[in-house]
Amino acid sequence: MRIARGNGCRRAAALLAMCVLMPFGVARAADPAPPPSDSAVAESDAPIATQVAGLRSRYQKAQQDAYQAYAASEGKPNDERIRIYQAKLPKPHPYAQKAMELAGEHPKDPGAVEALRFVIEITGQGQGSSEDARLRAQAINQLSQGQLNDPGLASVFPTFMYEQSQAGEKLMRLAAEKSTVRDVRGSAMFWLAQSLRTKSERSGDPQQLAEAKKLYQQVDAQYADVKTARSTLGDQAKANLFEMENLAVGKAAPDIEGKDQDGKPMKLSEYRGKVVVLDFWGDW
Amino acid sequence: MYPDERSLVKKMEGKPFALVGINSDPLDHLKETIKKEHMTWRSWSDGSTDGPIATRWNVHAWPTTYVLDANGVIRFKDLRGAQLDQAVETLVKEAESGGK
Repeated sequence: MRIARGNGCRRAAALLAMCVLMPFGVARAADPAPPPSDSAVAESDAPIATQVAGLRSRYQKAQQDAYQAYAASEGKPNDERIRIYQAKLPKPHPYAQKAMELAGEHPKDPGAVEALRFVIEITGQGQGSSEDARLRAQAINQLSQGQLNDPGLASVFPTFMYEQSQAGEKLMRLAAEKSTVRDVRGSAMFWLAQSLRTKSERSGDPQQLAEAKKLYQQVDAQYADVKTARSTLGDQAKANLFEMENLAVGKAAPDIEGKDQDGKPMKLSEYRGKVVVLDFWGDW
Repeated sequence: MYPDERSLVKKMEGKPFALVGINSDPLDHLKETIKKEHMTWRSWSDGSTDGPIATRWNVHAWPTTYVLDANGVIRFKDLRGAQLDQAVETLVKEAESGGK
């Protein structure tokens, strides 16, 4: 299972296992409201962004508790372990509902984008209740209507890369064209390219791939200097174009040079004549 | 992950095959892991998830795998487990029978 850097999955075994187990369907039961925090009264006066952070951490804690229950069930038959896990998994929509209320009551607050992003992230995790889908659509719609010029909108786009979403794609196309904030336009275009590229890899559709390539080139031409978390849109667009051009099946791999674990120099070309598995890995 | 890799390496002993890693941990962590997991193959120390090799190959998810044939051509991407082993066996047979 691919584990994308930068999301919670990479940092804790609890969340890691959850990414593996999440695709399983979940039996619906009566959904309780999210458990109140100890400081619920004080918190409701806190800034929206703070309240959303509180919701997020309670949701993640509930997910970790589900994983603990799974871990503690070792020795039981596997389908029973899965049932135990799923029974403890928090249902997204009580948390999403609360976040939607916050965004609805304070639409001009910078925390509103945070709240809507939270809704999109947790309702997109593939469990597919109709309530989740409704809230997700509502959140995307509210972003399209009211948050196009909010600089924080850019933080929402990456979530559409793997969670393929027609509404998400529409939002990115709209933002790329209509946002008055240049960084948002650039990010929208870049993440639209990412989403189309992922889609084309699954579908094999050459038109989607061609459009992705064009968008990366446009990002590099018009938004190269826009900063991202660890890089710039230009560098990231160029890296994707390099990969699409040179690292596709059928291409001769570029050489790799570096030092191994003992400090000895090593080149990929030394292995010509052998079948090679290149394994990008880390231990955590 | 490590048991699968160890078993692939063992299965391919004496054949035209190499498993080579590109590791994204700090160097001392890499050395510890190699010792702990009895890894007998080499890994480039890329130093971090933003290391030069991972950056050039646009790797943002771990693990990511590529399978190259004996001529250095990329033939498969992102295979794991039994599918990876199968792809390797096919390409090794191809290499042993004179290649493409």
